[in-house]
Parts: sequence; structure tokens; C-alpha cells
Amino acid sequence: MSLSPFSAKPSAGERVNKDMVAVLALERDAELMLRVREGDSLSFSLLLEKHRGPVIHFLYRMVLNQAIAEELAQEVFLRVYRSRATYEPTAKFTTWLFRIATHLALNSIRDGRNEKLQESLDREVVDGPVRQVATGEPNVEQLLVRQARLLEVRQAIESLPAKQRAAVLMHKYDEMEYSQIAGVLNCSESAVKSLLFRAYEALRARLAHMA
Amino acid sequence: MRCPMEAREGAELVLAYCSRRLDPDKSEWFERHLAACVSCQETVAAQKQVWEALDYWDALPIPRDFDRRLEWRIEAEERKPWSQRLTGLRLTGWLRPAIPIASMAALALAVFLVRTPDPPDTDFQARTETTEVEQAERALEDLEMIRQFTLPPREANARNPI
Repeated sequence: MSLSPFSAKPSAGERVNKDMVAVLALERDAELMLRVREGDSLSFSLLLEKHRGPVIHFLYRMVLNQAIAEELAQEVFLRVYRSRATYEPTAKFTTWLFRIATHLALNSIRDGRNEKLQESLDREVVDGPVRQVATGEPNVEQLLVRQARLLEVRQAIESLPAKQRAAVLMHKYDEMEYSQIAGVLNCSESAVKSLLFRAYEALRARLAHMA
Repeated sequence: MRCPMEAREGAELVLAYCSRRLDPDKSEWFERHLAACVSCQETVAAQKQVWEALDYWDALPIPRDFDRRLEWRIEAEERKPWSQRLTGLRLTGWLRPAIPIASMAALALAVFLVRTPDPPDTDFQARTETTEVEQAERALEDLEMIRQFTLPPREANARNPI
């Protein structure tokens, strides 16, 4: 067993640079939103271009339905646009954005809205995106193994309570810090840690055989 | 070296290590501990496995017409008059019936105000009468004062002999 799961670790300098870039990006988002408030539609387009991908993917993994995820993502950006006049950069833009997205996703799950349009998990796996193997086209066996694994991952995520699911998705796929997840879920950092530990524990139990 | 998994922060440490969010000094320290601790090795291996399994779930391609559809929705909303924008609000839960209830309440209040005749204001009449009497008394006093100032000196002396 390899003791170090990841061979390349960021140096302190790289981390500082990454943090600086992150801070500048955050300030840029808030600045763009303030310009949207002044009526600059180009700034809204820039924000949309930057954040629509993460928002759509987050919503898709939350509600597990592509059509509903896209509809909810439209609603998220429509709400951002509607709120432009009252926007104040008191929190990070992404925290605010994901708070809207999480709110809509949790409502959708609670209302059982996605049940009506729930596509078969099996069908979606077949129709879903398939990662290409870098060395060439995957053969049928590789595709089937991959689809089976993806199905297991989806089912494992689906089995989590909605708030734990949201916390894991933001932590894993959006690389958010505990404080930011806490801001989105409107709870304390220790509550977020507790949510994440329980969620990863459940996932470890469900996905243990996938080694 | 004490095993961090014995403390409450242990799980946090493993999670941060596996997601590469541990600062280099702590990471180095943890790796030294990991070399000797079977329990931590197992936890890290299991967490790494979950982390890699989650990587199987690729992102969806962004729909090509996403921006255009959003643009249409924004334009359509901006064309609506304010009254339609208000009725178009999506209210959830207990707020859902708020608009019809508020409308009915406003209508009922308006009908009540229009149909209820005003009662006669008796206080106003009494206040007016009192004010008129006071004004008359003050005017008479003023007249008397003016008259005293304008009396001829003889008459005034006759009236006020020293």
C-alpha cells in the first residue's frame, strides 16, 4: 500500500499563489455583480459563463435528473439577476450563489418534484457522459465496468440525507472550505464537519468493495 | 507519537490529508505517523478509495442553449408589467396562499371603508362653540382696553380721581 495517496503535493509557495488567485477571483466576482447592479449586462454574462457549469453539475448531482437540474440552474441565475438591485457584497459571491442553488435543490427534493420526471438510473448511466480512456477508445468491457461503478457511486450519493449530500458535493467537487459550506448551509463549521464525517463514513461503508 | 485518530480531530485530519488540503508541515508530520500506524493506514486507504470512486462521476456537458434560454426568460420577465411580476412570484409552503388572502383582505377593508357612513362629529361642534365664545370674550376685552386709552383726559380724571 502506498502511504502517500497523492504523489505531487503543493508547496507553501504554490498554496500562497493559489490563495491569492482565489482571493482575486472572489473580489472579481463581487465587482462584476456590482457592475450588474449598475446595469452592465456584459458583467452578468461573464458571471454566467464562469459559474453556470459548477451550478448545473451541483444541481444535477443533488436532484439526479438532468432536465430538473437545468431548470433549477436557470432559476438560480434568474434569481441572481432579479436580486441585482439589492446585492451587497457581504458574503462571497459563490457562497451566495450556492446558497440559492442549495435552497432550490432541497425544496425540489422535499417536494418530490424530481420523482415525476425521475429517469431510470440505469438509463441515465447508459446515456450519461462517458470518460474517454486517454490511451484510446474504451472497449465494451471497460465501458460496462465503468457504468456499473458510476451507478454504485450515484446510488451511494443518493442514499445520503439531502444536507449531507450537499455538503459532500460542495466539499468534493467544488473544493469549498468548511467555512464556505457552513455559509451555504447556514450552519456552524463544526456542524459541517459533523455532516461530512457522517457522510464519508456512510460512503466508505457503501463503496468499500470498489477497490 | 500519539495517534491522531484517538482524538476528535483525527477524522478531520484524515479528510484534509486525502483531499490535499493539509498544510505541508502537518502533512509531513502525518505521513511520518502513517508509516507506523496501521489504523491510520486503513482509514486513509478507505477514504482515498471513496475519493477516487467519486471521481467516476463526471460533470455533465453544459447545454448549448442554456444562456439563450436564460436570456429569453430575463427579457420576458422585463417586458412584464410590475403587477404580473408580482403575481409571477413563486411562493412556497405556507406563503403560497398569501397573495390571494392578502388581496381578499384588502378588498374587504376597502368595501368596509366605503360603505360605512361617517358618524357625526359632536366633539368638533362642541370644540367650535367653545372657541367662538372665547374669541368673543377676548374681542370685548380688547375693545374695552382700547376705549380706556382713547377717553378724553377730563373724563378719565373724573373716572379715576387721585
